[in-house]
Amino acid sequence: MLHGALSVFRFELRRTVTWSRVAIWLILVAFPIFIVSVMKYCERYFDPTLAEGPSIREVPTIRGNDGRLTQVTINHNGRVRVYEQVEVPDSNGRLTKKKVLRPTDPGTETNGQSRQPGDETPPDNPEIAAAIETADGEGAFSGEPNGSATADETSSYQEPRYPPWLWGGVLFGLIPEVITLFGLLLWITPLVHAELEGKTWVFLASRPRGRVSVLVGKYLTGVTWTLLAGLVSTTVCILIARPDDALRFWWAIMALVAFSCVSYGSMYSLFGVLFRRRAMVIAVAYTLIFEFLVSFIPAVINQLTVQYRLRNLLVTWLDWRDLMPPEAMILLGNEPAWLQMLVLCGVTVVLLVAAGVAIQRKEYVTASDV
Amino acid sequence: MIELRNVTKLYGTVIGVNDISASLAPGAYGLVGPNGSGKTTLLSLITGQLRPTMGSIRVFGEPPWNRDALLRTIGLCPAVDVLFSNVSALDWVRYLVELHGFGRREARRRAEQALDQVGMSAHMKRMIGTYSLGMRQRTKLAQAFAHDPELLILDEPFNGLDPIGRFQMTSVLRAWIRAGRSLILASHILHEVEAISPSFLLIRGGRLLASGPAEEVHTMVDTKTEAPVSEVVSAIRIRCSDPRLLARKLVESGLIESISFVDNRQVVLLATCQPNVVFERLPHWLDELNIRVDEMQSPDESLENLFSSLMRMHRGEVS
Amino acid sequence: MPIHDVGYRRWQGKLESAWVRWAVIAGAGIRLVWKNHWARRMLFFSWLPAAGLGVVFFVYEQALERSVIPNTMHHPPALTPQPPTPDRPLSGGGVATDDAAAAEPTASGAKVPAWDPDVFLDPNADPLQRLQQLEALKDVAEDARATMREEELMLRAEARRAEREFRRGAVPQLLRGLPHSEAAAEAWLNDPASSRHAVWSLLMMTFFRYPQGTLMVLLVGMIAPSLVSLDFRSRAFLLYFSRPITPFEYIMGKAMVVWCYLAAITTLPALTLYVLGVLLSPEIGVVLETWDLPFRILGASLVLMVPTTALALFFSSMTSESRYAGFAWFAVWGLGWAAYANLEAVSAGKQWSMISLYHMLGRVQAWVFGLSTDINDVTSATALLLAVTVLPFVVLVCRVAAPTQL
Repeated sequence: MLHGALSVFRFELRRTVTWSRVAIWLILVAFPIFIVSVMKYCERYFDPTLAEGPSIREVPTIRGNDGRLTQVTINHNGRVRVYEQVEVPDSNGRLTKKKVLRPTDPGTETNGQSRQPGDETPPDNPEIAAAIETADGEGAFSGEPNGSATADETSSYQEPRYPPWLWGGVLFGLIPEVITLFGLLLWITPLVHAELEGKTWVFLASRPRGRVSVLVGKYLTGVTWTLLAGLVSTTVCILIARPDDALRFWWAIMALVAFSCVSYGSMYSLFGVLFRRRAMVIAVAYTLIFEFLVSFIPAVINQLTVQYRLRNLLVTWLDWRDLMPPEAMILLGNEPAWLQMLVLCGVTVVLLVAAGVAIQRKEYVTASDV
Repeated sequence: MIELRNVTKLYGTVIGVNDISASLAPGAYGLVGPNGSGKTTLLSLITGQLRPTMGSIRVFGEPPWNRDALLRTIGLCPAVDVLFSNVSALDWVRYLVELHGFGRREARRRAEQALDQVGMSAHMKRMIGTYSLGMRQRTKLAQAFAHDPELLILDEPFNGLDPIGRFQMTSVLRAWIRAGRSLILASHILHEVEAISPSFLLIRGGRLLASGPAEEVHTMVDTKTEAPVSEVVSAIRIRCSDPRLLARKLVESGLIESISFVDNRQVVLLATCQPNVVFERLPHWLDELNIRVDEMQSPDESLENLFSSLMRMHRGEVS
Repeated sequence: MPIHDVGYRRWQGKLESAWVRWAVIAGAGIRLVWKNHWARRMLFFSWLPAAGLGVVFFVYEQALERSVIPNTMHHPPALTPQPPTPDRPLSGGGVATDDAAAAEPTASGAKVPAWDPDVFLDPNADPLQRLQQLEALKDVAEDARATMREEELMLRAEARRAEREFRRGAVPQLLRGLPHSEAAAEAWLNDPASSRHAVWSLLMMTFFRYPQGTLMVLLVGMIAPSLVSLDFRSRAFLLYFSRPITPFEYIMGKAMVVWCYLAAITTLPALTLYVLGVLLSPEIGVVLETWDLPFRILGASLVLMVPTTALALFFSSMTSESRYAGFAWFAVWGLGWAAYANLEAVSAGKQWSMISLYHMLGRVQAWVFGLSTDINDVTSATALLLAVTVLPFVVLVCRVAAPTQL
């Protein structure tokens, strides 16, 4: 069977190199690159307060006792940060409004002071206490900025950067999810329908182990094409985004692409075998409802999805658990990475075996038979 | 070789084949029937593509469904057209031979040999999308026997072939039979099948109406009355330079049942029970009499006559 | 003997108008799709969201009724003046004895001690003194009753206000999760009585955007890819165009197949939902406030059906293999949605909706339902939708008009 599967793999790999397929492959590769490029361009306008993650307290912008516009954020870990809005000259010399993180003054502990969620006692730092007390509830920055930046502020000013978890979330959503799923949708779901439509099924099914060879061979072909697309996309996107610890990012995303390819590929193979004409629609419906809706239900049911496993691996491999709010843990889980990988491999094997059994037992009637 | 016992195949409420029983020893058989009679369904059952709804089927002693060892001994040339437009014949046949378990080099050698046998050596590296219908038919035949099967199953192999192509394919199949291999050839054209296989299976409406050697089929006798049920007559139209001279020669040969002149006496219309013999001898006569043929047609009504007779007999009507 | 003409005769009847020739193609396509079990299942399930939203209509109408019309049945139970007890000295003298056991329950369930002259009047006083004590107690009781009446009125008003405030806040809370809900929430808070049109429009819009929007993508992805591609593959176009059928009639016939099923999952359920909303309202007068909604539903349906059908048939005409057309269809929606979600998260702004067909449709539909009144907001989206309609249609006509070039 392996020999037959490899024959099918080699044949399909060569046969599928047509202009139209290469064009579709390039579109899939280019899509995340385009998104990341636009995001990189917009990074200079990024509001750094968003990088603090979801705030547990709605502390709006206030004008402090010294008259400076300030925004205080307190995230779910209790970390306090104070931002100020100043005008900073850009590369063309024009003054643009920017939010800067107020540097920590020795002895004042302006930033980094920790407060627990729900803590209503006034903070020790008088500036923060004053800032919180004089909150006027206006929300975002209002009014004029606090004049031009000082020389120290200008020299120490750094362009805002997206936090690592933002890049990670975007790359995870675009490459192991969107690109992988669409690639597999195109190359794997019609594995039987394409042969029936092209009237070549009978040639393959009349060969010893022809059916299973077609299944495994086309599965390998689809996974290969999609993996290649993921590899190129990930590499170029990381080069554009330049996140911190880029190499670790690359390894993590590529590993997720690989696991996503093999596990979703096996799932779509089963759909392709069972629902020969409607496999693509069934696969889309399953993905939308189960993988993208059910996986976000904060209950045990989300552990039945591949999405849950992949999210867990992402957070584990990039050490983001501490960044996640407690209420998100039910969506991510606490299982170790090796268990998630084992489950994904197990799911792949089980679904492929099921598809193999189904393709051997099913009768595929062509129009010429009736 | 093949054992069919009350085999029935239903597609929902549509009957594919209906209670067919037959026992076929190794040899060559023609499966003859009009379009929609169940030939393709029967062949699909024999090759293990479909499972019978009722009854049983055995090929070389085993049920063919999911039998990989059996599939190695069968070569199938289906009626469907090959639609791989961006693959060469060599690549395609080699790929299919590899699926039988042969290594890459051996598969390539066999593919080249098979394509050479069907006269495709010069074109085997071109894309299939550039082939004519006849070339695609020959490519299909090549993939059917490239792996050296014991039983060759052909479904409408002469579709789309010109007379030269038909002649060539007939020669290949005759050589196959002479080598002692088995063959089942399905067609709706009686004389094509007759030129290759000595035995027929006549199928219509999913029922097996008759089976046996060709000479028995041609002159079927009602077992009750011992009267001929039907004589299968083929009609041939020939437009030539000297119709009268040709007609005299045909009458003298004793092979024709009737002869007439049509189309302002430019066309000879003859009826014969031995069309193959007529076709065999016709070139010699034309050469001997120096007659030029402008047009020749053979509207085959013999099969329709044959089946009409059989249906009348099966319905209990005495001819 | 005269010889009768039994040869071929031309049919002398009247041919149908050329304007309805496309209906034959449409009818054949509709019947073919109807044979698909999955399509029938999808049609069945497409009506479930209408039933669900009908419940929401009912809940809203009930909340509206309670917020606008004070309902005396829901007032707190009337406070009953508590006569003095032994523990509570009276202002006019006299001490009540500890006589809780003899108390009679009132309508509110509070126990009031029974009137006992020996308890409230000095048993040692003479009758004239007892009469004076009785007169004094009557004056005290009159004063207490007046004070308690004022207290009762004040408490009732407070309770009504609190209840209205609660109910006012509940509806915006429910609506807050829906996009384009600002107008409806504001209308409710300003004057619930005049919020009906905004809220109904919002619910209709939600119906179009979420459940039916998703079903639309799935259903069209199921039926449209093979409409034209199969004809190319099987050379059926030779059968079509060997008859007096123009490419436009062919395209109209194919488009009608998609429109018919799209209407079955969007327009018909939406109109039924409107009727359901009217029937579940407390009075028929709601029709006067919402009479324009059926027309807006038709408008939103048009906005949904025309560009999506043009795009789907365009994909179908570009290939003879239906799976590529299906993939392209799903890719347009999926990639567009993913692009919008990612870019909007880092840089909020309406400009990103231009790269997502789903969100472009949403903006135009919001304007159709009156949830967005800024014409500038919708001009660019409408222009793009027109482009998405016209350009694919032009290519489709070219492909259909010259199928032999495939």
